[in-house]
Amino acid sequence: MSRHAGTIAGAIVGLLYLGCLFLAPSGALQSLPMSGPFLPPSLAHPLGTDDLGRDMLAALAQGGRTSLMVATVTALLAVGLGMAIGMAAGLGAPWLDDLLMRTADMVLSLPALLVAILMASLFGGSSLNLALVLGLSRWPTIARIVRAETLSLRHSDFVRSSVAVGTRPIAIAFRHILPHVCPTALTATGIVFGGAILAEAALAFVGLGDPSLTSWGQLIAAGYTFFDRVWWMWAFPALALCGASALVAVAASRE
Amino acid sequence: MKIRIFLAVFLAGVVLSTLSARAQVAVVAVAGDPGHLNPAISTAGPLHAVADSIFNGLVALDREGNAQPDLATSWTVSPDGREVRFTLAPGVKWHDGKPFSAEDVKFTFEEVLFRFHARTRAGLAPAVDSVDAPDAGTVVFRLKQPHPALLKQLNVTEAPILPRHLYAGSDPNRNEANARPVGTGAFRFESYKRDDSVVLVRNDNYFKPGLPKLERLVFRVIPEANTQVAALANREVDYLGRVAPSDVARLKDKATLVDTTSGPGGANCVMTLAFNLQRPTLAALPVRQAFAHALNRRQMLELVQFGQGRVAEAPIHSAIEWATLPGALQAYDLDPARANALLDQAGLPRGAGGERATLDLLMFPAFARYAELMRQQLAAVGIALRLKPLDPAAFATSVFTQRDFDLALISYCNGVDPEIGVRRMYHSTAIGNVPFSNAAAYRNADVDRLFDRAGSSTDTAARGEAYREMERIVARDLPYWWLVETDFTSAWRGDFADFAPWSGQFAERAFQKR
Amino acid sequence: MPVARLAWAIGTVWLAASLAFLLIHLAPGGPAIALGGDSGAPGYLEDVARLYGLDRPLPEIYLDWLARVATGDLGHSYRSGQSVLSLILERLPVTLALVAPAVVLSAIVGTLLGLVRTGRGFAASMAALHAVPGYLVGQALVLVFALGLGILPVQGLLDGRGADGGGIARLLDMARHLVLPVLALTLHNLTFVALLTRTRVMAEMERPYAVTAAAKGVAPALVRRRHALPNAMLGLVSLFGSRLGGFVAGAVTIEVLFALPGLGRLAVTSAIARDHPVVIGLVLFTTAIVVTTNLVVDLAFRRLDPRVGEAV
Repeated sequence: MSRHAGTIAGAIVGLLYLGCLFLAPSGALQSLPMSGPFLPPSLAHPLGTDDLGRDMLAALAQGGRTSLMVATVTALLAVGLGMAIGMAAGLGAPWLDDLLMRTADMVLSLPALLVAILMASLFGGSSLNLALVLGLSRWPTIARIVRAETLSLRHSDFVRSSVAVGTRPIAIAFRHILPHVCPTALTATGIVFGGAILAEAALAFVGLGDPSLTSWGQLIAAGYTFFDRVWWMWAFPALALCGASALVAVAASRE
Repeated sequence: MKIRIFLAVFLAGVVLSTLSARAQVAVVAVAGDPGHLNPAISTAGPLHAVADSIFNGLVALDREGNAQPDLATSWTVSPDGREVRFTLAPGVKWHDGKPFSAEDVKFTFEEVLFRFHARTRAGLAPAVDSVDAPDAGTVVFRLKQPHPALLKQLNVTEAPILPRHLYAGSDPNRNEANARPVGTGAFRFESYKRDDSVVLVRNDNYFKPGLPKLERLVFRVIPEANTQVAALANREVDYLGRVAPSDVARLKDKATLVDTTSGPGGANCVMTLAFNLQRPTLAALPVRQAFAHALNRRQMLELVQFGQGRVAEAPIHSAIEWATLPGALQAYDLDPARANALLDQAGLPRGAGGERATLDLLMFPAFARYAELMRQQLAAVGIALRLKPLDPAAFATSVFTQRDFDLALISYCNGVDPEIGVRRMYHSTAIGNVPFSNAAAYRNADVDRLFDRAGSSTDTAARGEAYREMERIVARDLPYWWLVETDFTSAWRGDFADFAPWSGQFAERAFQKR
Repeated sequence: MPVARLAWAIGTVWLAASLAFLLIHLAPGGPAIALGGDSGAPGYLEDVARLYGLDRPLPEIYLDWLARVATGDLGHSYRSGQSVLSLILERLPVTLALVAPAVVLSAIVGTLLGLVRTGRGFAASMAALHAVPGYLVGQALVLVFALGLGILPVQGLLDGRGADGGGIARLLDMARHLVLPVLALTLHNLTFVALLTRTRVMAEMERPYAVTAAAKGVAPALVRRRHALPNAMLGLVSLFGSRLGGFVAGAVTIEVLFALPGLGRLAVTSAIARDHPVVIGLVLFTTAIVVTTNLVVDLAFRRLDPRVGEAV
């Protein structure tokens, strides 16, 4: 089942991302189609327009590109580090296992969001920096799961026989362990991915996001000004935000 | 169990809060933490919104901008216009009980205002020869030349008077009284919790009989404009000094609304785009002209200001009728095609993605919507903006200390006389490390001369002519691009009356109707 | 073993301190500007460099930095001149008043939910709800309870008009102001606890003792409550310790939304003001708190249940 979960989650992200790329205007100029302000959803503007008259659908797609990009970079970093470290801990000597897992505990104890705020303070809001901070702080979750899986595989017959015929540990890791831990790791990655979308939005909401990029969090923050009057300015970005992270998380939770 | 206790506590709280006795208290929302409460060393809006109620100027300005008595009860100008003599109100005491005297005034101007208050330092200090205190009740300004703007530069926002006995011989920036201010004003300082609240209480010994009427004045720091409005609607807050233009409509039937062009942050403000002339790209005049043709200012007025103001027609605010030059900016009609041609001519061809250049735009977070719209409009001519929202202190450091910016969005308040807030934008002596001075680093000897001439004449017609000549020159040189004159709206709940939002001492006469 | 745990706890703070050190030295303009700001006054940056001893060799600066952190010297805010530690301690009660009730509420309600409902649909809906950030929940609560019904305040910790009454009246007023923010922070975390409880209890239910009990005809609900829950609780509580950082992170947006003067708001206003020493102090302080809490929880459980020491 979990094999499917990973595939479903991956497919969701892929489709969302393609949709955003397709709908969002491209280029450094960040220009969106414009018409009158506060137009409610209609055929011309399926999600309405914002206070500056920008098409909300295009803004949402543009924001999605940012949000999903941050989440993808985060997830790739976390899954890469998590699998490598998890397998190393599972296959390595006890002292290495201990060292790596204690390090994982240490990293988990760091307040990632505050570190991201510190980065924004020192370097200005930047979505790449955010993805780096999140990716480098979320790998332990994946590493733990991968390690547990690796440990149980290590004592299975086929791995033992591989060891018996003299296969090197690295080869064992790639040939036998990796294919088996992938689905589980992907599930955990779904949670990291959803968490990254939310973290980006939280930073944008308090005004520490990347000010030059539209993101879902930034759209929600902008829509908040018109909270009780122009529902489509915040409802659609909020729906997109919660929807994307929920879909991935739900798909991942179906063990 | 826990939930039950929780509910009980909650219900009791509801009951209690509705029973609590009504005292004459006004809760005022401010958008930012004031940082400290010394209004003589800063021109920051959040600080003056709070601190001006603790202090007094020599004069107060009424809604029309005319001088009324404050610490000075009367004044006379010598025939040659170079000596102005103020008679001070008798029996004024500082909040700590020490008597107020002319020495305090002399000290504050010479040692503090002329050194640290951005507008007064640039706009008044150069005109003053000396401030003398011949006796405890008299202050004499001796001027280098006649300075007709003087009276408009002496209110609490431009020139609050500090207690000499607490500041003498110390660095005003590091004085402990900045956090526990002692003034002569209508309200006494009681407490300050950073990022939360400032509480002021009535000064029972105030020198104006019968004032103030409120017993407490509580300032709450509420950064989100939306939360401010919700708090007013929910009766948690009584007065909003600044209502965001987008919120005016929703308060129409919930509160008393008053439009003004002045307030604790300054008077007659123009949203202005400053070009850093030290950056090669922006030093080229055609590039700045292209900005003027590319930016749709009417759209800014409508979409961001919600119509609260006017498109700027001249470098000087239209409310200063005798000095403004209507039509000065007529040559720059909205014409993106021409802007594109100018940029081609300036040697900025379009790149692969259609962009010619990427520029950094620095601004206060509150101006983000202007910046977003500007980015949208400039995209049409191939200019990409990198937005950098910064809080006032960090903004001042980047723009005026480090000069690390391409474009800066600044709300320049002209004041009620161009000497107050216009000179500092253009005069070459105002380039440097003083916040909100000459951001463009613009230098033009003719403009300097015209300012010096206008500042020293007593003849309004002649002064107006000099300012208009100056405006013709800067409209041609474009060190700035003047976007929109912004009007402010203040709001208070219907059961309060007599707030004066155009003044720093906005609550001096206010009271709650019983 | 406890000594080793303590060593790792200290190691975590060391890691945070080293990270902060690295970032300060990578910051644009260099460490002097990062630590002291730029007043533009001539000689100012040289003064800052001297104050922090930045003219010495890098290893020496690093050791000095660690020594400062170890002694709780987190430097001074250059916005207010106040010491960072005192600034943080001043704000701590507000964040505690927000986070503590939310932790308790989400622990109790979340555990109960996770225990009672174990279906897949429930898990999915909890996972979906977990994706709704606290500030959106907060906005919805404000719309209903403050602006709609008008029974609760929308912002702040105390009523601006009251504040005279001390003692109980003050506490009640504070409680009233905290209802919505606490609920907003709770809902997001409650779902997490519910999911975790469900997973743990289901795992316990597959253990031999539970299977045996079920085979003997004990009702499944009773097995869950009597046998599985207490065992699952052990793991839950220790996991809750590691979740503390998540609560503080959630408090950031809630404090901004409700204009509460807590640590999260301090982090945000300081970051916007580029008051780096305060933000660095907050990172280190929060790390220390999380690590200490985990340590205490861990040691307490070691006494209660000797098996914990052997398990991972």
